[in-house]
Amino acid sequence: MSDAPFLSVRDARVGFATARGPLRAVDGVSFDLQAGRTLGIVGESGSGKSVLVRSLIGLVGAASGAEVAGQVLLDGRDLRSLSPAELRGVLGRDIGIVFQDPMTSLNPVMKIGRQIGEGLRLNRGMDAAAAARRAIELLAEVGIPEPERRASQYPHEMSGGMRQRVAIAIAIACEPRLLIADEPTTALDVTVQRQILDLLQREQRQRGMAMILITHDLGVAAGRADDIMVMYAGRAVEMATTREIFRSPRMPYTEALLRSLPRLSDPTHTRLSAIPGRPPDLARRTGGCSFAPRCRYRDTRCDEAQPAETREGGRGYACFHPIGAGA
Amino acid sequence: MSDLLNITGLTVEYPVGGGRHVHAVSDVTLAVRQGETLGLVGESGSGKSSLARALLQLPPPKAGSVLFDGNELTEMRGEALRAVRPRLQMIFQDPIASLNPRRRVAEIVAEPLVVSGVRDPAERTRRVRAVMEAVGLDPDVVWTRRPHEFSGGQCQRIAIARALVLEPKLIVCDEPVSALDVSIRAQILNLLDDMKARFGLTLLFIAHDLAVVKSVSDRVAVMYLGKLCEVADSASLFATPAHPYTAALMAAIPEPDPDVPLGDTKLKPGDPPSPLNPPSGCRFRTRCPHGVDRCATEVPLLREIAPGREVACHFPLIG
Repeated sequence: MSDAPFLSVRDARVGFATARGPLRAVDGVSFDLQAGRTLGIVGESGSGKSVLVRSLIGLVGAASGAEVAGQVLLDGRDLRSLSPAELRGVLGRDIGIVFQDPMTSLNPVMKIGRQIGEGLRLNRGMDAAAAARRAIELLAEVGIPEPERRASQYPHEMSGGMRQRVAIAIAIACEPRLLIADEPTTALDVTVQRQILDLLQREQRQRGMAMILITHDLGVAAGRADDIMVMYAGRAVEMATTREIFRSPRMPYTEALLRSLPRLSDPTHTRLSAIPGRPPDLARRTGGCSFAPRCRYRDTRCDEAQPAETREGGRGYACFHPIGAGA
Repeated sequence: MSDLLNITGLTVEYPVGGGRHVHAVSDVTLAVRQGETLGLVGESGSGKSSLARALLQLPPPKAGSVLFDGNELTEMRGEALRAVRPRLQMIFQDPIASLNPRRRVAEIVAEPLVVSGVRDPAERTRRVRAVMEAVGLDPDVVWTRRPHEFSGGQCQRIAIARALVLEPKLIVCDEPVSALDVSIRAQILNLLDDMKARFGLTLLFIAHDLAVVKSVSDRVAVMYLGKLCEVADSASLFATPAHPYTAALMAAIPEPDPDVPLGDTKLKPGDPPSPLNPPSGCRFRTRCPHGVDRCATEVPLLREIAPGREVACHFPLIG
């Protein structure tokens, strides 16, 4: 079927055993991603956005002490049924990943060109010379000047922005159909951030890749994502198009988050509307909505039951008191 | 308004071996007026944190003068400097790392009182309780706890209480909210504004986030590679930036609004140069859309182009 989603996730769960008892870091998240579209996953630290995405591709699993459940279909293929070796193959060929800190994701003792070529030799069967030539082309494509010279340098010889460009070159080397970018610009300065986001968007469009952009920065998501999933305390509390999220949020958490941001359009000393309290302790979940203790619309129902997801056209939210919803 | 802090010709350099130096802050002259919040903006390597530390003499700068409340801090050492410290406090970016993990919250907040010679325990307890209540901490709940039991936002409240307990005149806030979650930032920004009004504080507010800086600052100073680019009142600076770097920074900000089109930074491609070897002339010229020969040979001095507006550029965007 041509309109089947490229990536389909159903009821994803990730739990950890901690000294303070079991902790549900991701608690029943479902979403679809179509080919060629960018999904922004927005949330604060501890919301589960990174753990969710890493669990989908096997980077968080039994080996890291996690209990993982749910279904993950990539182009109809069930990733959870694959052997570790098969999954590694999928990761190399079909999925590219860019992490927050390129200094920790790059190998510090291997030359840049060789790191880019490694995936090409393993997954595309290129010989060393062809992989080296292609690595130089990729360096040029991601905007690195003097690519021949740079290919024989080590990561520590480059700036943070350059290293992130190298990480992107590695991620796209094998022509993946899904690119996962986990806080790709959080460690970078704002002018460099801009260049890296432009590069990611250009590559995503030119190659028709689907992209998952994980960020805590609503500004980054606003400019780059087609759709946004808002996570809070391990759950997807709202999912809609980017415009719907910013123009007519249904979930009170989304609304409160947007209202708390300082805006360049506001005059100096405009009082910010702060969200009281703080996110819940995930090892001490209550039976109700996780956001209820901080929510201005809370009533007794919110404390007693966890709201199920409500669908409204193409969007969804988990709230008993959605803002501006018809009924 | 009179100036509470006058920084003149401040220069900070760090040796990095091989006879080379990081030129962290180069000949910066800047005043902070009594009762204002001055925002200091810059990217990493701009020297904004080095400047903050140098004015607290942590360590003393290589050259320049720091005149605070009638005292020339660069000429003071030891006991004399300690006598000024109660009036000059600092809040750091990482609230958890800036608090001693083995101390109880009451001891952390009381420590400046002990150091500055408040001997009476009852007096210390009274002042610690009062400042905790002012920053929104319940003294009876937090008194005997330790920092690890608190979230980042709560730790920043503790750090603010510790900075306030001596009733300082100036607080230097170095990226006070950038380590905090988005939903917590507004709480701390509002708290700083409240404390400023209540205690008659003057704030030097250092941050890289322009929207945050705009929301709290009366005036804003922009730094790039150790030099001041522009100083102006907040409203004028954000309405009509005069320095091409300020304009680029503003265009690069991702606005939390999908209907605001992405701005054009007009920057030349490439990375910021290293502060080990800053460009000759104007330090911004290697990325500046206007860079011409004169920019490479002649250092642009900070000059007044309109009342209250200073810019260091041969070709300012206004005036």
